[in-house]
Amino acid sequence: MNYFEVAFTINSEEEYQRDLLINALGEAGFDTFEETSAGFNAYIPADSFDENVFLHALNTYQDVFSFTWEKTEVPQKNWNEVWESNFEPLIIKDKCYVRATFHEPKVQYPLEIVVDPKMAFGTGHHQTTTMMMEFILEEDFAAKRILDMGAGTGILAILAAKRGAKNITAIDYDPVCYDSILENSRLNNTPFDEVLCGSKEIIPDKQYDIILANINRNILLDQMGKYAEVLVPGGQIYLSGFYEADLEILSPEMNKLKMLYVKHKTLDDWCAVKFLKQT
Amino acid sequence: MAKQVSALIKLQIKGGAANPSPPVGPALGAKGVNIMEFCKQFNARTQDKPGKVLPVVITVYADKSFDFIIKTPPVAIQLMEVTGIKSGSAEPNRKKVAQVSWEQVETIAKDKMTDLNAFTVESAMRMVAGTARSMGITVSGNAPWN
Repeated sequence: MNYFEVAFTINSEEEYQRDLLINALGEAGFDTFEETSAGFNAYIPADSFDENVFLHALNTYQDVFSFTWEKTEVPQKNWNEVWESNFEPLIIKDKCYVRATFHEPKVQYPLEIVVDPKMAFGTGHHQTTTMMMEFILEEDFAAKRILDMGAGTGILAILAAKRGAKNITAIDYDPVCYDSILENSRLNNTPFDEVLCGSKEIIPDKQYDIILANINRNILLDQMGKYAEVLVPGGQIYLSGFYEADLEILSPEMNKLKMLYVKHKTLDDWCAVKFLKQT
Repeated sequence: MAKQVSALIKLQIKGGAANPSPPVGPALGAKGVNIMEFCKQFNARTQDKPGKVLPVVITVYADKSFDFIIKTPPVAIQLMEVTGIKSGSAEPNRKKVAQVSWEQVETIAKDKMTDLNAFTVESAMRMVAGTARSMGITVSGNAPWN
């Protein structure tokens, strides 16, 4: 997705004026701002930009202080390239070796995953991905039907497939991740039943034995009702992407949906947790 | 030994909405930082303030590791929320647009104390009152230290 960058030059010594303008642009749909020596740059996805809303936001401040701006388009690019070119292969529980395409394979590990992350999330390096992968290595996935929500690079679904899972649905709302899932599932020779781009609305009307969701607290709270609908009684659900303190908020909500806490792992305050749906 | 700093990046990002697009992508990506890791952390730490624009200062180290500090919303924004005004005054000395109490100044001062590098509540309150005056907001009554 292309972005618009609007560079603002503020002709004033007063720092608060910049803050007011940033706040107004935030309400007008801009999501990120970078402070510069002349003022600041504001960023918005090109398809969310509305000229009228933008000019209206500036209008309030035009009489209060003086500023100029210039809009340019920033094309989509893989900004993560530098990190990727240096990423270290990873070994999880002495069983699973995660590497990039440019690393040499290591045959001593029973399972190997090749990821080309681009700007999708999930190389196993993040604590939440590591813990979710540990769960998949510890638990029985043979012949299970799997839903992977917020799949990112697809790494969890790929590992589930390598552990014997049969029917896999992988979903991510980000088109970059959607492409990444398709690419990585090919790289690992683990075809999925479905790869979908969207949110909870596009979860197929099926039944799953296991759900994997490494996203964040607020999205999990929003989507867990839908998970409860598609999970079979006795089915397992693994959640991550939040801090241990958030478990106190998530757990009671899961209980209301008859998905009961079994156990959790923590790593540097991050948390991954297993629930079982009541039979 | 302290780690060598390779860059200090000052951004303002909506709570829970960090993503690998510009400026986060290019700013962190050029330094070799794992952008997705920053986004995941920022969003988890700001999930209670969705949609609020929050200043964040990211320190990138020579070994490509990073840490960051999330600040509370700027003083001017907090004053705006308290008073309900939309912008500051064009002529703050002559045209006043709103009024706040010293109690309100104190609440904001306490919230912003660490960000303002203030050592005492009083010095933080003086800074908040200064911003209020330059926006054309009167602080009513006598300062508590008078």
